[in-house]
Formats: sequence, C-alpha cells, structure tokens
Amino acid sequence: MTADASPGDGSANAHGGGPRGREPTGPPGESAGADEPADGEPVVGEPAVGERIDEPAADVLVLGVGNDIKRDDAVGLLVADRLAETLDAPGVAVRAMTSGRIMLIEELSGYEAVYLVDSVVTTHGTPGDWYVLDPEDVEPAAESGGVATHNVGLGTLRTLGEAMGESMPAMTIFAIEVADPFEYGEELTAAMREALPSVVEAIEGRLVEELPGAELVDADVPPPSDAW
Amino acid sequence: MTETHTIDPVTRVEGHGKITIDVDEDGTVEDAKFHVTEFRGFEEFVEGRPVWEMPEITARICGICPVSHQLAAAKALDEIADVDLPPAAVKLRELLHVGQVAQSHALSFFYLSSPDLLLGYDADPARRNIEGVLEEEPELAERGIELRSYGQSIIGALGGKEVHPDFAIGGGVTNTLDREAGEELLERSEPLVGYVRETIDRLRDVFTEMDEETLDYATYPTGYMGLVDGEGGLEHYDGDVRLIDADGERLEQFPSGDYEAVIGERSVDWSYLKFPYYRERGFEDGQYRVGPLARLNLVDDVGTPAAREEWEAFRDAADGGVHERSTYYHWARLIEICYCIERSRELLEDDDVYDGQPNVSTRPVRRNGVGVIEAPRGTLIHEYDVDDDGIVTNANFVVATTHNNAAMNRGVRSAAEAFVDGPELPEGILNKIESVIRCYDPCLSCSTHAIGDMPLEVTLERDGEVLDEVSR
Repeated sequence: MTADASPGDGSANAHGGGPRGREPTGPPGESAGADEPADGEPVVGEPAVGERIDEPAADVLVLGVGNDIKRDDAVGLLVADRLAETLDAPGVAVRAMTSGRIMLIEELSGYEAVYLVDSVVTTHGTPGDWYVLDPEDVEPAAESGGVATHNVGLGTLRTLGEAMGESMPAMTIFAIEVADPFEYGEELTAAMREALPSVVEAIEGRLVEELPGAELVDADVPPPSDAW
Repeated sequence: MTETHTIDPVTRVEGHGKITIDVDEDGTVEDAKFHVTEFRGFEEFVEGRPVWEMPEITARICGICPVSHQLAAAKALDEIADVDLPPAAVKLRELLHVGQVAQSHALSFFYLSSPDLLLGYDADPARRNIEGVLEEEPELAERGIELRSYGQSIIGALGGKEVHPDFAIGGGVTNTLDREAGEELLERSEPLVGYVRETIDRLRDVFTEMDEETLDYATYPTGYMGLVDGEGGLEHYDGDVRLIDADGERLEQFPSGDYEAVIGERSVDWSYLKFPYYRERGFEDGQYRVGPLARLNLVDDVGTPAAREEWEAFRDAADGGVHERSTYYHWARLIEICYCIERSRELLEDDDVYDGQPNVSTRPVRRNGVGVIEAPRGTLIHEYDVDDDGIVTNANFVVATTHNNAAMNRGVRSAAEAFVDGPELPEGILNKIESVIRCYDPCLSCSTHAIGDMPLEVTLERDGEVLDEVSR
C-alpha cells in the first residue's frame, strides 16, 4: 500500500505529559479490594482518565490508541494524556484506549469527527516523523485475507458500525513514526523519547488550527522527561 | 516546512506471521511451516512486579481478549492467597467469561471466517470479507454483529469499560452487577439462541454442499485437551484438565496445577512459539489440539438445553469417534456461542450476581499459584512463583495459540500438500492455506492499533531458492 502524507512541522520545544502509568491496585501483599468491606458493595475506583463510561457529550473526539506496555506503542496514549491537560476546545473530548480495530466501534460511535493518534512503522520513516492520514490511506489491501481477527481496516469498521446502527464519525489519523512498538516494556526508546515533545507540540498546533475555539492551556507544564 | 512522504507500506503494528513451503524438483511439497515471529518476552516483563498487578497487567497482553488473561491471573492469585471464593464471585467471573467467549467466537466466525464459508474460498478477495457477507446475507451478518455486541455488553456491564475491564481480582471481582443492567441483558438475549441455531443450520448446509477436498484439507488425528466440570461436562471457567487421544479415549484428567507433569514444551529455532506436547507420548506422537473443537470432542455433556441438542448432533456426526476436521472448529464455535448465551441467561437470573459477596481479602500465603481457564481459543495457563512480599520471581504462560502450534503447522502442511502444485502461489490457494490458520483463530500479537495491516508472508522455496513470495 502506498499513501502520500504530509508530515507535521516538528519544531522542537519540549513539553511533557505524564506517563500513562497504572496506579497500584492495592498495597503490597494485598489485592485490590482487599481492604474493602466484602458486603456486596462495589469496590470500583474512580474512572481513570480516558475511560469512556457513557454516551459522548462532545462532538469531537481525540483518541490516543496503543499498548502502554509495548514501549513506543504507547505514544498515542502519551499524546492523549498530554492533550487532556493542554487542549481546551469546546465540544472536544480527549481519551486514550488500549485497544484497537474492531473494538473501536463503540468508542467512536456518536461523534461527528474523531482524530485518532496512533503509532506506525513505515519502510523509510524516522522516529518522530508524523503523518496526517485519511482512513483509506491505511486500509488493508483488498486482497489481504488476514489470519487473525485483528485485521479490520477503518473502512470496514465504518461499514460494520453503521450496520450495527451506530453513527460513525469522520476520521483523521495522526500516525507517529516509532522505533520499537514490539517489545514489552514501559519505557520509550531513546529515539522516541527525544522526538516525542516536538511531535506533541506539532499535534497540539494542528488541533488548535482545526478545532474552532481551541486553545492551549497549561503550556508551562514542565516536561517529565525522565518518565518519557 | 512541509514535505511529502511516501509511506510504502503503511504496515504493522500488528503481529506478523510467516509461512514457508518447500517443494522438490517436481513441485511436490516436501515441508511447510507456520512461523510466528512475535509474542516474546512477556514472562520476563512481569518478573519483579507485585503479583496482585497480574490480572490488570496481563490483560494488556492482548487488546482483543483481555478477559481471558485477567481471569487466569486472578485464579492464580486465589491460589497464592489460598482463599475460597464466595459463590457470587465465581458466578460473576463466569458471567464475564461467557460474555468474552461469546463475543470472541462471534468475531471469529461472523467477521472473519463466514466470508470464506458463505462466499467461497475462491471468491473475489475484494468482496470476501464481512462487508461482502453484509451484502449477500445481511440478516446473518447483522445477527453476528448483535451476538458479538451482546457479549461485549456483558463485559461492559460488569467491568465498566468493555475492552480492558478491571473486574477480576485475586479473591473475586470488584463489584456485583447492577440489576437494571442485568435485566436489560436478559431481555436483549431472548432471540439470540435462535439466531445461533439458525446459523448452525446454515453452516451445516454449507458443509453438506462443500466439496470433500475443501472440507477435509486440514483433517488429521491429534489428541484434544480442555477443562471439564465435575461431571465431565463443558466448562470454560474452572475444573480439571482432560486429555483424550485421537480415538477419543481418555489419557489423563488432572488438577490444573499439575499441568507441567503432563505437558512438555519444546522450542524450535524458527518460531517464537513453543510446541507443547503430551509428555508420556513424546513430541512426535503427543501433539494435541485445544479450543472449541477439542472441548466438544472431549466432554461427556453440555449443560444447557439448546447447546446440548446441538452438541449431541455434533457428536453423533462423528459416528462414535471424534471430529478431526479443522473446518469443524467453526461448527464447534457456534455451538459454544449457543452455550454461552444460555449460560449467561442462567447466571443473569441468579440473585447472587446482584446481591452476593463479590470478593474476600487476600494476602500472599503460598509461593506458587496456577490459574487455568478455557479461553475462547483454548486452554490458557498462568503460573506465578512469588517471594514473601508477593513479588513475581518466575512466570509461565501457555496460551491457546501455543497449544495449537503443532496442529496449525500440520494443517498448513496438509493444505499445502493438497493444493500447491508448481512454482507459483495463486490467490485462491493462498487463501485456503491461510484459512487453515484461521480455523484456530490465533492470537499472534499484542499490539493494539487502529491502523496498519497484519502482514502474512508466504514463501515458496526449492532448496533455499525462493520461487514465489507473497506478502499481504
């Protein structure tokens, strides 16, 4: 598959978002809920940032996608975490999701427009390059049979969502070139850690341009570069 | 500054599979292998972490079937804490699990396999997909969508978020089910058993009309392994592990914690996946399969009425033996959807899931715990060793795709021998070889993406020389 895409303007000026770390689910030696009364009452904590628990109240969704224990694969989540702090735009929700493909149907449903932030590995890219793509740019080839249930493109996702009676949004993809989304680990590669602040800034700028009334706040948040 | 990049190809962030087929001078297949080049390193990743994190963190192995890992890890934690769960906790976990199995099976059958079965293996690949099925058989496709959605809704109602629910924990689950949500699910589930049974009828018609060569191209004898309940019935959440031979005779039935004494694992240099086998019979003769076909081959009963009828028809069709056809994984998968729908209704009608005690306190008491469940694709084993502080010192995961590794390789070879003839790989043949793998619905990776493709490389070789190569 071939797609033409314009990389974003990556002027560097480090900003950092917090790592998408998991809160401990219980004190050492005890499982989550172990201290809670075992009387049938729920022991669910507050929803984490980015979890969707009901129908969308916003028209536009910025959704970071990735796996936060597969090194650079977490960049979509990190960008979303950062945008949740810095992007102030009316009618715009920012979320992160650690799943993809067909599982996105319910997540995307009901919005008018969705910006997906995801990692990508291309043949000639350099970590930190980023691309603005349409769904058709990244649709699996028609002849691709696939061997696992993961293999559903965004076009098929739209068809399926509509068949399910869902209202599927217009989609724009911000694909970030990464170095290693394959190995397990909670740390970005050095190349990605170095490149990410400028990518975040560029994506912030792009969204401010595209979203009516959007502005950046908390721009002085110091970059937690150690975590990145 | 803006410049234009050409992305060629936009690829991967998924896993990666590879098939090599070796042919001789006459074009006759000498060997064929299915290589898995991903899935490595997770066991090392969790070592040094607190074991109580395992249900949550192992769920992140996969963005598609996280519930299975979460439940296996939670069961291992129960052992480490040496606790007995309240009845409500067991029922709630089982409800979560049947929701997961139903949605996963529906995804596998309706979205991925039904295009081959209903539109034909040789159909135009541009149409041989769920969109093509939606056009040709919209009612069936829409029912498949609803079946998957129902399973997802169970997970969502319990876990609060549908993909990575933080629901199962050591000692039970985090919460009971909201009664209103349960009543909605019950109402919604009413037509679903009928949907599945009509789909089973449709599939049996497809098999009847299918030419023998296609029906049998991945048929071979193996053992079969899976959990059974106390009466030998179909069980996805708990119970002993049963292993039968290729004739259906019972070889072993053992508590899940004894798996290492029964099952060996061999590594090869061309795949990251190990090859498990039944120790007593050795590597060559001890291969077995897991998953829906295995489960329905080895049980003595199925515990819900409609699924029991379907299973009896399935069993009777084997003429007193077991089904060896890989294509019958699809049939077994549909019967299991039927069971899961019925079982979910039984659980949703049980007051315990609304009013019972969801968990008990846990502390590390033992140094080792094993959790085994029947994931949609087959037996899933989690084992952890911990120190006094509950820190993981060693972990071992045996996933369903690993158990089926030898069978998938055998199936690929069988299909290659049946269909490859000459130095090229025509598309229809390629799809038949791929479809063998799809029978097992393997998980090959754990990345979670919206974009990209999952490349499968197929190479035809003679004495190391590449004759044809297809990547897609």
